[in-house]
Amino acid sequence: MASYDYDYDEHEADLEPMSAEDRAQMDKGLMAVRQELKQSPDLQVTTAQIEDSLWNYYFDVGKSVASLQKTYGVKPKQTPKKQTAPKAKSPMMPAGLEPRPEHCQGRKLMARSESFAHFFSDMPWLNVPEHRKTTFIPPTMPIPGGLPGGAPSKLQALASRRKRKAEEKDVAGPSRPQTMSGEKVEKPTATSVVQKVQRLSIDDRVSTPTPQTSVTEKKPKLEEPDIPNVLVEEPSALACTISVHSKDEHPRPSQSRYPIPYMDIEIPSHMPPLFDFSTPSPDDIALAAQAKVGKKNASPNRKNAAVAPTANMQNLKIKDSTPLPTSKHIDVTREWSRRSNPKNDACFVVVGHVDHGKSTMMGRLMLELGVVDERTMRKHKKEAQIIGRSSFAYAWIMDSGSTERERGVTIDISVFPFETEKTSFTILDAPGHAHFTPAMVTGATYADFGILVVDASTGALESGLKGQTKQHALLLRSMGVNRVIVAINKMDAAGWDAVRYEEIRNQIKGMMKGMKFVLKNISFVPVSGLMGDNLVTKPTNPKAAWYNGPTLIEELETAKYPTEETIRKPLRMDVVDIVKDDFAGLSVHGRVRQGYMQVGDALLLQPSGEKAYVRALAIGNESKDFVVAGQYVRLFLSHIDPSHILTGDTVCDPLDPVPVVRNFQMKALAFEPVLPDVLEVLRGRIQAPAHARPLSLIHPKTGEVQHVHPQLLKQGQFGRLEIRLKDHKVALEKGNRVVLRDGTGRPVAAGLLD
Amino acid sequence: MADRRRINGPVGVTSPPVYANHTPGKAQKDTVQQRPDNTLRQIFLKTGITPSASGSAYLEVTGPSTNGPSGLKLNCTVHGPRSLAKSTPFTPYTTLTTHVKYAPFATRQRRGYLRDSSEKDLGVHLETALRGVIIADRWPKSGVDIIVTVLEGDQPREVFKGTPDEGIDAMNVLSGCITVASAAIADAGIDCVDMVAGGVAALVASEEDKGEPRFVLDPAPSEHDKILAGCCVAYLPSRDEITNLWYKGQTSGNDTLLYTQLVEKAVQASRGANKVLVDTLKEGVTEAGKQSKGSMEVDR
Repeated sequence: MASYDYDYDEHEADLEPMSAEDRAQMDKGLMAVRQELKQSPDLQVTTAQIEDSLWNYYFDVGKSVASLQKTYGVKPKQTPKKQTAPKAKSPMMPAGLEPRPEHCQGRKLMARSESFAHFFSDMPWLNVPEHRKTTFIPPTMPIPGGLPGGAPSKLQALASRRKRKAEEKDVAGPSRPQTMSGEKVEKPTATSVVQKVQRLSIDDRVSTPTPQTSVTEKKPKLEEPDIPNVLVEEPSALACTISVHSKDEHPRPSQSRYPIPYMDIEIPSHMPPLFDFSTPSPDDIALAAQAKVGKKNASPNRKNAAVAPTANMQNLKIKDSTPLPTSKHIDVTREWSRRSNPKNDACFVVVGHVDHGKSTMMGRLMLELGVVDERTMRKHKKEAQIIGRSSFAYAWIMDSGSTERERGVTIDISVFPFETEKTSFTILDAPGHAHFTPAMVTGATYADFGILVVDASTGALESGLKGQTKQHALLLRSMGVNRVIVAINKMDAAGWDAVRYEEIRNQIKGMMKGMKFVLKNISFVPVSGLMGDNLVTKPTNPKAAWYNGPTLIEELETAKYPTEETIRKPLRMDVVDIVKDDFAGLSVHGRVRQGYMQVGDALLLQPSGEKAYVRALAIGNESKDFVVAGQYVRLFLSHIDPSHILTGDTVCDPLDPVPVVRNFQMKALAFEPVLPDVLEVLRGRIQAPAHARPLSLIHPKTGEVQHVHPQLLKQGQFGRLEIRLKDHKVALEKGNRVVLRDGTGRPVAAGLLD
Repeated sequence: MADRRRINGPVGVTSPPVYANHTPGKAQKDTVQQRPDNTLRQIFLKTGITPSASGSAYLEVTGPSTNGPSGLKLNCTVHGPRSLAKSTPFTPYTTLTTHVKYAPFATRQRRGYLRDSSEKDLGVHLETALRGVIIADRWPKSGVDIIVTVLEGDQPREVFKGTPDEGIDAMNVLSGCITVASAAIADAGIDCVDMVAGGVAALVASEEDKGEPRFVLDPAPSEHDKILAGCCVAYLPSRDEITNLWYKGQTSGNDTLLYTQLVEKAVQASRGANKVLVDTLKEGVTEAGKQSKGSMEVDR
């Protein structure tokens, strides 16, 4: 701010011609000074020098004379040009240019001087003497309110002009107080205080500092003129925080802790004393205890990591903090053979054309066996009545999904365990609709035997024979399900007609013979799924008196079951379903195809290759210590990330795992012509697109190669196919049966790996 | 849409602390005066606190109680001189606007967000004190806004509302406001005739002196049993002028001598504050010089 004013004055003095008023003042002052100087004739000064001096001292004659005498009277004989520079009062002035008048009237003086050589005569080019060196002082910051670039705004210019005018008026005024010595007493003029301070430090034209003491001298009426002693306070923490610059100068108060306010309040005696937080508060204690408990399990692992942090990269893996499940080390095969109630485990799949009553028949069977209680049944009946399809009530025992119930068809296989006196069964109720063939294949993969449900009513049988009754029978055969019970359903609708039964029997027999089923493994049972006739009990209908064969459940119990041989094989279990339960944890559902496992065993999941441990085992809702082949189990896993498990994975023995393949060969029977094409490989939950190509044509009986690299496998032909999976690898081994289907969903071929 | 132009408060509910009241029987006098009567409390003053303002200053006065950081804390910002709105009629002078606002947490009794009558009153006092100092015709058609925020009140928060010394407390705040505003105006570079500073003196009576009244500079209400009268002045030391005078209290009879003595004591207190003020500004000037010099050295 002050620098601005300084600059401004310079501009005025240098650029603008003197005003008439000033000129008059100047002339008057010049006369007076000349008069004064006449008394000392040895002093030689030019008019310009006097004028300059007067201008400096605001036309103060006394001061000007004193200054001129002081400046030029010391060495009177010398011309001003040759004067040695007086000591620089301000470091602002470069020393070489110090003689101010010379500088100001440089042009005139230059004209008089003979040559510039003389001017530079004592100027060394290097080794500048110390007294000539200067210190540069940067210009002070511009006014905060000014225009950028330091140019005065109009407002500022106006203000400054007014200020000037006021000053001039003040100086010119006759009432200007003068002291005896002729020195002007600096009355506090209308200048900003900061300006004044600034001028004190940098304005070299003011030769004598403003006598500040005179201010107090002027106050005689004050009885106690002494200014009270005020100590400048150390800034508080707040002050330190808000003033950035003061950080360095004023160190923060050493007081790092502040007393808590209002702790000295007197507490009435009936109230508990205030807690002063000198000891850990109850909250602190509780939090510390909680933190300790939380860390207890994690600490051993951390210790392990600390022992060899870089030795083995595997040690750095984030591990489950839960301990490994402990194994009871049961000799499963021995235990299994010595078990107290030697029940067989069997898994069967219920297949057939859509709406032939598979789910209803199984639901009724459950009810008859007492697996489902009356109350649940009543509930289903009521709900089925509400939507106007009371016949669906039994099916709803099997079909639990809302979509399934709404549409009245089974969509995914439903797994339902039940027990008879001799056997533990697991029903795999497959969907009949053509769209859901993969689910049916899943069911067929895990089944020991199948129930083919056929509608006895006229028309339905025929449509089934063209449709899924035939297809499912074929798929059962492809997946190696040789034992089939054909349940001729809806006999009540057919009026328990023995002729009709016999007719159907012959038709189905013929069909299955064509599929190369062994006929002695096929049995026929007439049933009524809706009425429950001949499921568990003999039919009550008098019209059914002609039938004296076994009931469905009796027929089921005659089926063959896995032997000890399959139990001794290495463990294989296909993941049919994954259940992530917040409470029970991660579990997978599936059938143990071969081998056995017990709690605590290490497992390998293929094709991901992830390791896991058996945390718990269950069949239905019953917890088990071990499971063996043939059982449909719930396997609770630990030490594995749920994202590594997919349906269709194979859980296997880590010592003898299932190979993961991408390309393989298989012997297949063609249902449809097989051309080199993209087909879908189905097995269990596996659904993988692949390129299939016929390699050779094989004689079905003798097994000898008839044709190498055939163009295609015709319908019913037997041949070797090369399969190259497109996307991902699958876990398959020799002997696994797979189905190939085309883009429309039709099964094209089926066979087994070799 | 959320208001993004302001710094919004927390979303959740906050509750201000509610302090237990002192037991009613407790003596009003909390602290003992430790300094001589003719000295002021320690002052910390700093200019240029708020960079966005044209000028700003921060003032701190130590509290009467020595065991805490409590004490008067004032922040002042000066905006301007800036042009007035187009709608305002022409004025050849600077329009001065003063705001004094207690922060809601400044006193024991929570303050509202809008200025109450006492705060407006302080604002009027401050304007009177400053109007005589600023050279108003230097900046025509322009306005200067002076905003003083009381961050912490002078009265210790232990003293709850309703004490008869509230006037003295307001005087102390006003005196601080005047001093801090003066520093901020100087920081803004607004032309003034002099540096104005506030000062307070009081006539107190205490039991130790057997009821004999005595003068105290810069009184702290909690240090004295009874305050008979108080006076707050805004004083220009170089001109020997008073721009604002606030006298309050009862002096016996028509004792004019007592009155003038009290005013003189207040003036004396103001001189003390002025000394701090001038020192601070000088320090600020040299500091600015140092800084710009430092930057020049870097350039080289």
